[in-house]
Amino acid sequence: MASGDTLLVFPAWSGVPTSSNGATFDTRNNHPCADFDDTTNESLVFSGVMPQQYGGGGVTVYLHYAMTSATSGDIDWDAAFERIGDQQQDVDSDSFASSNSVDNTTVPGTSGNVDIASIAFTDGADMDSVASGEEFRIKVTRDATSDTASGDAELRHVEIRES
Amino acid sequence: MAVETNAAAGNRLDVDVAPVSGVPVTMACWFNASDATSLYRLPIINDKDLATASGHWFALLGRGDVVGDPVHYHIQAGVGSIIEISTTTGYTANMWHHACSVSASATSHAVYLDGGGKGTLTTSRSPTGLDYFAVGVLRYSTSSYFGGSSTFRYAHVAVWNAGLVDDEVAALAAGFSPLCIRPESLVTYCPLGGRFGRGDYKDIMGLASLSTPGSVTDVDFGQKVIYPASSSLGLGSSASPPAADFPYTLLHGGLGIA
Repeated sequence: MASGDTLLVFPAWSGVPTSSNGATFDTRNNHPCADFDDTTNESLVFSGVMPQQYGGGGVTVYLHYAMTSATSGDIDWDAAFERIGDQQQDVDSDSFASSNSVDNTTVPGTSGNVDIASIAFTDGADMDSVASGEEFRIKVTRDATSDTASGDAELRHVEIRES
Repeated sequence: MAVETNAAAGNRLDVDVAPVSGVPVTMACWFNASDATSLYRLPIINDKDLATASGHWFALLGRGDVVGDPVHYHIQAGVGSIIEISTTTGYTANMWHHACSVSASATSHAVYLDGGGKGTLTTSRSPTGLDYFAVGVLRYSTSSYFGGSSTFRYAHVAVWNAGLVDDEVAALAAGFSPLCIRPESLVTYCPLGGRFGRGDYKDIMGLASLSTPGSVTDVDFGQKVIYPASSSLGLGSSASPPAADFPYTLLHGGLGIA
């Protein structure tokens, strides 16, 4: 896969809210999305299999989001990978790698405008050593306790590209 | 798809198994009543082996026979113990509405209409001995209560062994399938058609297929349903194939042969 190529795209409603402090599903003008609070760090987890096309160059995660009402302030997003792999993870427990972040992104001046924030991961431990052909999970979290934009953030899609 | 039944005697969907043994429990469904003057029995979980007065049950009801046409949530745990929680808003005849009841604990009960109109009560009630699940009837050892004689429709009947929170109930009312909402706690989901097929009354969570004593009819369901989606696979950059004879077509969730 060439740098910049799309590996996977997850609609927000393909995610599973975490058991505690999970994002909640909503619609906006008939667009499904997932709402993340502005006071509590909430998360959404997506499951997939890393395509065979992944060339081992690391990945960049693109978060497509809009703000429910905020037109000022900044937003912080975290993402973390968990390798399931071939007998690499007992799925009866969680084992996400440390998260990477994109912080202090100024939100769009129009609340209905969709912004795209990106988080880069180097190949290897940074993305929990997920390799091509391996099942994995990615957890997306809004770091609401650190950012300043008021109201919900509405996640719409998550795109993973080869870096 | 949805199911339509006349609420007269005998017409219902039911099964002699209860999805939960007690609190916490959430019940939800979409319903469309042909009038706002009758009582309609929506999802009900009860002990069918007890006589009426001493019954144990959780019952979600459309109350067209009450001023304001609210949705009611009744809980009884023995003789003389019935409690009633009412939504603050009412339903309209011949329109699809979402009804939901939540008992997060024995002392936390709530009922919603269309994701809002929340009514609450903290009176302690905890029914036991539950062994029956139905839509359209409250059944006892000595009698059964069906409700008004007008037709009503229902779809996407679901039960969780947990108390959903306000945002989750709102998401259901916004059109998200129960499969999207706290799936680890979803113990019963009867779509009653849709992508799962006309005339299919099974519980896709594996409780049991609902039987249809009396008369039920498959009808259209006029609301959007947002099911869980799968990921899409990227196929590469503009510098990559497809070549003129590339045989593959990108499909949602995977590759398919063109």
